[in-house]
Amino acid sequence: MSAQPLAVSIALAWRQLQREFRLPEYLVLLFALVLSVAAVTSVGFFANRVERAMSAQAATLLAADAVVSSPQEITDDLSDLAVANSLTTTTVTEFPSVVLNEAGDTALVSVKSVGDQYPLRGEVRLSDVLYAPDYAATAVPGKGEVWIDPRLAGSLELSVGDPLALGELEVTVAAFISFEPDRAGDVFQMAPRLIMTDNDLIDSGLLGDGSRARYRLLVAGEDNAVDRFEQQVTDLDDANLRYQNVEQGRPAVRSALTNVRRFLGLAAAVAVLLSGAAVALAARQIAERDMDTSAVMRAMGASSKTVVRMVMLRLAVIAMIAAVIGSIIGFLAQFVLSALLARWFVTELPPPTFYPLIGGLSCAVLALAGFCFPAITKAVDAPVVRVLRRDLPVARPSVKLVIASGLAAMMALLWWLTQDFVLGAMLIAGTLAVTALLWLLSRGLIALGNRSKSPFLRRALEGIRRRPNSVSVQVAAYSVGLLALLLLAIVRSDVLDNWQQQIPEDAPNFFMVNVQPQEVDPVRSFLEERGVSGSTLYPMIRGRLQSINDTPIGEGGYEDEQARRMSERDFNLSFLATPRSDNKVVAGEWWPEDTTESLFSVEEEFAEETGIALGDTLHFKIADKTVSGVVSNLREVEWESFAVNFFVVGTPAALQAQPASFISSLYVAQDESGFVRDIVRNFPGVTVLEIGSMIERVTGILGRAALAVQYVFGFTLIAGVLVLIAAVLASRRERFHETAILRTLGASRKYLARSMSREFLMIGFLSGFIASSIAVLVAWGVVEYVMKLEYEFNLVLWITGIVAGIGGIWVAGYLISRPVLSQSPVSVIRSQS
Amino acid sequence: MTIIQAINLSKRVQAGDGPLTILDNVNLALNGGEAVAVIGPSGSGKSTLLSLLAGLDEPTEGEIHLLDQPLHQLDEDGRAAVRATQVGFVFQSFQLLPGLTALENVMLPLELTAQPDARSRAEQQLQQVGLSARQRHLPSQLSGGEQQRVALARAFVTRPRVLFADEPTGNLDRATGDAVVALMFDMRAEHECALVLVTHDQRLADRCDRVLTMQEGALS
Repeated sequence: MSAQPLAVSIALAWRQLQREFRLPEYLVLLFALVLSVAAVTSVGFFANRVERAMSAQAATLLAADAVVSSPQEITDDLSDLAVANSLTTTTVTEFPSVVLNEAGDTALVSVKSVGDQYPLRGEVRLSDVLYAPDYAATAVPGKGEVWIDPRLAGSLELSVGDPLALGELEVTVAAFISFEPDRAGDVFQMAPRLIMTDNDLIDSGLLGDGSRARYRLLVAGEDNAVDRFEQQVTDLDDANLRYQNVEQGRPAVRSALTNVRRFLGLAAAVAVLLSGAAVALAARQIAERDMDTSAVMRAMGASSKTVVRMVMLRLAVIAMIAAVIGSIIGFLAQFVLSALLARWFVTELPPPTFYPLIGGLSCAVLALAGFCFPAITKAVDAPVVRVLRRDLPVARPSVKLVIASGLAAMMALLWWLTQDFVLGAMLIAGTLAVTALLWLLSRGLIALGNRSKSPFLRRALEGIRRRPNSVSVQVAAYSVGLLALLLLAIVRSDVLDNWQQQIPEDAPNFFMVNVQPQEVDPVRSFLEERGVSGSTLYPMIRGRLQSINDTPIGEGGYEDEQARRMSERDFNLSFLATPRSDNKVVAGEWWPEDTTESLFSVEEEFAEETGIALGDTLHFKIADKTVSGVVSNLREVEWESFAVNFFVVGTPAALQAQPASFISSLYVAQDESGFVRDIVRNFPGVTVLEIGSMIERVTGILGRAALAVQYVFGFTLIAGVLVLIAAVLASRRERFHETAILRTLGASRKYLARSMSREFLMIGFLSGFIASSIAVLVAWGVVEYVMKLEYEFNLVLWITGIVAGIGGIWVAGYLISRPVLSQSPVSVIRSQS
Repeated sequence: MTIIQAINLSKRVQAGDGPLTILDNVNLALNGGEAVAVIGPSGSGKSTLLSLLAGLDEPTEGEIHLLDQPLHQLDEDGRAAVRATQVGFVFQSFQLLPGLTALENVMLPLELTAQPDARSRAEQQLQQVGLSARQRHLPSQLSGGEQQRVALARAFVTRPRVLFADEPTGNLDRATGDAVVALMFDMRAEHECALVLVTHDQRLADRCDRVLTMQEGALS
């Protein structure tokens, strides 16, 4: 006879599942899978929404078919070249500035001055009343008019028709911007947008030589013409020009989002990894039960195919249920994630698609296949003769097979979550190493406790001594979850707070940029009048490093991506005759004050990353000239001081003749509230940036990012609890037996309850102590050695970790083991016989 | 008519200090409707003999023919197919599936052979063993005697040609055991079913047509 019909297998599997689903090991299996799916889908749904937001804007991402950008003003030659290719063109200039309302309140804005044809692709959408239905703009702002971001309207209490001081101009708010096509790139938006017409740009006096502005030429037309234009721009071989088409998109944004997704994905992966351990432990319990069931079924005449089918069907149903419940939880959880990170996004995120559900189901299936399948399939192969001889050794799957299949499933999941094989492998290795370390630590502490002569400690360790391996697994699993949460809590509160608190009270709180050479003396006088002293105005020249000695930048490549970006982008140079007291020369010598040589001083870390050495000749492209000089010294810079600093400083002989604007950092007392307003009124072209609010914003973003990751790590802690429950369940049969014997020998229920309670208190204390102490040690290391700040030990957090360990483990362990106490010893001993 | 024939049957297993012979060159024949008891001390190989005759295990050497099927040549699925239709079992530890009710346990062998009237036949069989009122109960809600009666109902529900019983009263008190044995023999008679009974209980063995004694893996 071949296998029984499929319908028979389905009916039997369904019936078995209905009954057995209430068993704790099935519940642990289901919860562990639900947790994995929830962790994966919450991140998946969130990433999906962000990606959809980006895709929706891809078509109009550049507001053109291609863009040429430059730190220098776009020359007529380049525009003519585009027109010669029958391309439509327009220009966009972006720069930061400060505006004032009628009441004299100021705000930093990101100004975008646009040509008449803007945008060439897509549309700007406006509204006349905040958050009212929007409409497509039919032209650019008129002369004397601006369109503003609703955020600016909020902060300066502006309505349409209100006046604003912008540089030397007084402009009127003509509309609120509800959508701006080429804004999609600014995911990490710092300042609200203000759009003005190019026709007002010169009159505003906002731009001068060396101003920090970005110039763009937007082009649109036939594909062939755009391609031809791209080739011609490339042939110009101008290091200042950067060509970008829609396909190239915004790599920086994509990369930032990929990193966010990857980071959240990693947090979810740790939860999946721990849940996998719970799945494996629960599967072992289920497999042992299945061995008996399978043997009876086969004795009754079920074919092995029928038994396998039943197992597969049961697992499939469990996977489906877990996928559905987990996905619903994941879907709800992603709203919290989106809310936590909402401030990063300019536009509202679109609703997610159902695509992440595939990921959720795959996660459940993979976790089952990897962590559960080896044990369950082995159960199917249990000898039929077990119906007669239950003393036959239990055939367990090889540990190597379980580990290998678990790791294979994890790798597949991690690849899906992070799209990075190496990162996935590193995470698995890291988690395993941390777990192994925690396991060793707990074994060590248990051994230490065993040597103790304290009767309390010895009695508390009674149960632990009997199951040292199982207890160590519980401690390690729970500690991993707790450790991850504590570390993030420390980053979110302690590390960021420590950093903020240790900024000196009189540290500069404003940057002043775009001060034109002719404004230097009047600005100095103004500052002196206002009692702001000690600030230096440094010349700032924008330049791009073209080559080191005779090697052009980019040739030979950089291993470090950041170094490549730093060396390839425009950056700010300055010149100084005498050395600064807050910069320390660490190699070479500072130049004589009256030197006529063209020399450079380079910040030491930048030099190291970009491969610049003493004696090298650097060639910079500044405006349309090449300036060269020899590196005469390397400097150490204290970036944390918030003083103005530069990667490269030259001798006056090298750089004085180049177009420059001036920059300064200054400390203005809190009560000088009118300072910014007065600066902007007196020097309309000068931009004042408040460092305090920037720090607040940066720490806010970091704090929220940490909170978002911590939120995902919440799944990890629950997974740790599940491993604990699974491990306690695994030892429950043994506990039943032990308790029955002890009760037969006269132990009271009260004594046994106390003994069990003590055991879980001790396991909880061990987990909490280990996790808390490691978290504090890591935080101390980061603050003292990475951030080079003074670490303040957070006793409350350390104790919270220990209490969380004790509370979590005691509640979970004691509740799971409680039924052991209520069983009659006779029934237990009988069932064991 | 011979329905079970064992020829030169041996079973050896690998023990810690070398191979261990559990059954040594056993020959046996059983006719249809005949009841045979196998008795002997613990470890003499009684249960191993039963497991081989029922096709639950494979011999190391020798032949077993069960209802003209050469069990020694069949794989596990082949033997399962024979068991599904021709054989019933009663075990010392009952071996009811804990997740299924009494009725579902009895229905199980019928469902495995896709019998359309599984429920009504199982209900009828439970009625025969006096457990109609307990058919929705799980094994854990039944006494030992009741569990063994469910096992009897399950064993006979497929109208088997042979019943294999391994210490069917081993987990029961004497009065309950006697009642179960009486029921088992009545049902066997009704179904004209052969019986292979492994027991320590001489009184029980005496109710069989023939008594075989196992001693150190051999029949004497």
